[in-house]
Amino acid sequence: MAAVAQGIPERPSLLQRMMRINGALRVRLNLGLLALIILLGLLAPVLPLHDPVRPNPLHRFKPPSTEHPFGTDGNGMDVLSRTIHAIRTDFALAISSVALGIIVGAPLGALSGYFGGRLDSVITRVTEVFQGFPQILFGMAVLAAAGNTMVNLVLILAFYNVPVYSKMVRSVTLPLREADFVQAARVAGNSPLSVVFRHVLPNTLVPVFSQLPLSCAYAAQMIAGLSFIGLGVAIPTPEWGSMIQLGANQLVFGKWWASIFPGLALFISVWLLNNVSDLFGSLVVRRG
Amino acid sequence: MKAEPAGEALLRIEEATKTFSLRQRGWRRRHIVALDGVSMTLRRGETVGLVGESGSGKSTLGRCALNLLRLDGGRIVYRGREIQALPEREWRPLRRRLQMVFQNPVSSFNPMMTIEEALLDALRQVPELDVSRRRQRVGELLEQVQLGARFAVLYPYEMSGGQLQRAAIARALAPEPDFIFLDEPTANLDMSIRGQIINLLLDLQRQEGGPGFVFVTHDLRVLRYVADRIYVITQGHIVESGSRDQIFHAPRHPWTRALLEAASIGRRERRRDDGSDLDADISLESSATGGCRLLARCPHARERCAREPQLLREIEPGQYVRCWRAEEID
Repeated sequence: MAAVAQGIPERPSLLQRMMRINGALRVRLNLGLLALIILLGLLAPVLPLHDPVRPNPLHRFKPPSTEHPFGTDGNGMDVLSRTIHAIRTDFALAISSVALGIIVGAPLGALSGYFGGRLDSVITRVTEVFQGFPQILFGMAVLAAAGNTMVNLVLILAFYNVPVYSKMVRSVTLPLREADFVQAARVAGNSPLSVVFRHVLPNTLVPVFSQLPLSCAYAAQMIAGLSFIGLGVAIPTPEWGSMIQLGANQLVFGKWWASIFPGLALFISVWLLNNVSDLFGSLVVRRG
Repeated sequence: MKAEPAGEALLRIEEATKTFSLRQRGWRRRHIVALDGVSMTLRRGETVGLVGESGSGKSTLGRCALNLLRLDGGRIVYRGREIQALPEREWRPLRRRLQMVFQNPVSSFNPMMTIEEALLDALRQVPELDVSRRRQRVGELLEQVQLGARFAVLYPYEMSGGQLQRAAIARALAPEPDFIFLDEPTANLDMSIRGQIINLLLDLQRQEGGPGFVFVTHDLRVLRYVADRIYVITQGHIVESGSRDQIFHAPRHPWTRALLEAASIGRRERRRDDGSDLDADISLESSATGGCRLLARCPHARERCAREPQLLREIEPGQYVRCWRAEEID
């Protein structure tokens, strides 16, 4: 309190608070590596790399060398450059689809949990129907019918995140309905909608944020999976799933580099995202 | 010290009933009668004490009066207007007039909001203040409850229970209400902090044009300092009501006497079985007979007590007792 007495203190940011918790090394390592990967993706256009989409028929399936550290793929495109540029594609798709899922799902869950009754029944049943479809099959059907575009891919992935987040937020909202501070918010003159959006929803976001990296990891896997079977992201665009698929045929002939490097990138990203998700979770426990 | 409250009745609660039904395993339900024909009158600017043991229905009454819970029966009349059945939309303008301070100061603040944000949230009910005036008002309110403006930037988990309870009182004062229900405002606080909150309330009472208070508590001793009038409630019934002096100096109902005795003897010399007063805890089954609800545990019980339900009678001007033997026993 000594600092307080001298005037209004500076508040440590969320990032600073995260850095301060125990096991800080683990947090720093995971967040740091993840940040490095994202930074690498962001800087990809200005890094001294080969053009990721220029084919070179004379340099097909060249093994790693100083010219091409990760080798070249079946179209003669530089695997290193493509692996790094794919960070942009995969992360952008994953993050935007998860964000869309949260933006739609979280308010739905809060409304459904707070008001209950018929609204709750409708929202819960509809989201359960969503979840009933087998995911990959549904994705294939939609992409085949509506066209193989990135927008459609994001929509499909978001579609699968909506029920995840609406259910999660709903379950956190139920006990909050009777919480003293929610009653106090009513006494303070908030309308029911204002109670939900100003008081209930912000207090449900902590588990949402700890789930977020996990969803991103899952979305990245889904994108790669759909691209691997030829849906999702079309070939010249750098993307891990389609790169793995392209190289997979040559794997048995000992030409491993075209598949292994994007596969490793995917594996490391998903692993880091999972770790960060766990750490967010432990952060929640600490504060509660 | 305080003028005898003679103002008009601002809020009247008439024959309020509320039953909770709890689902037990399977189809069975257990019904708990929280309020059973409770009537209460609140006059402008006065402090009313509502005392009862836990489970007696005292908190339920406050929550019903503020429309946080719906009454099953009875009326709530505010300035001559029935408000118990109003839909939420029409009720909201009244929120400004009737405020509440909760028992647990820590859980009654949104953990994601600073104290300033919480107070600004309550000040949105005051349309006559523009945004810059509201921020200024936050500082004034914090001063009024003897917290500095430096507390404005703190989050609830950075403050102590006593500080938060002051902030809660500031939040209740923000929309300039007619009445503040204080739901056991000191029960969760340390003894030393308790005194500070009581003193704060005494300060607020002295201010001209300030709100009235309903002080809900299980501790009669607290009311000796703050209450103008006192209602004693047990098992959803008012058993005695009267001015502070009547309740403290001439209590008539055996239950009130037992409460006073328990409070004054305190820890020093409470004996387990002196047979002179009512048992300390309530047994639910005693309410099953048609007669007086405290029958099984009253040392003054007669046969008539078992036969007829007891009604509130005025035995002194302003003093009501739910016991037909009130004058005889001493």
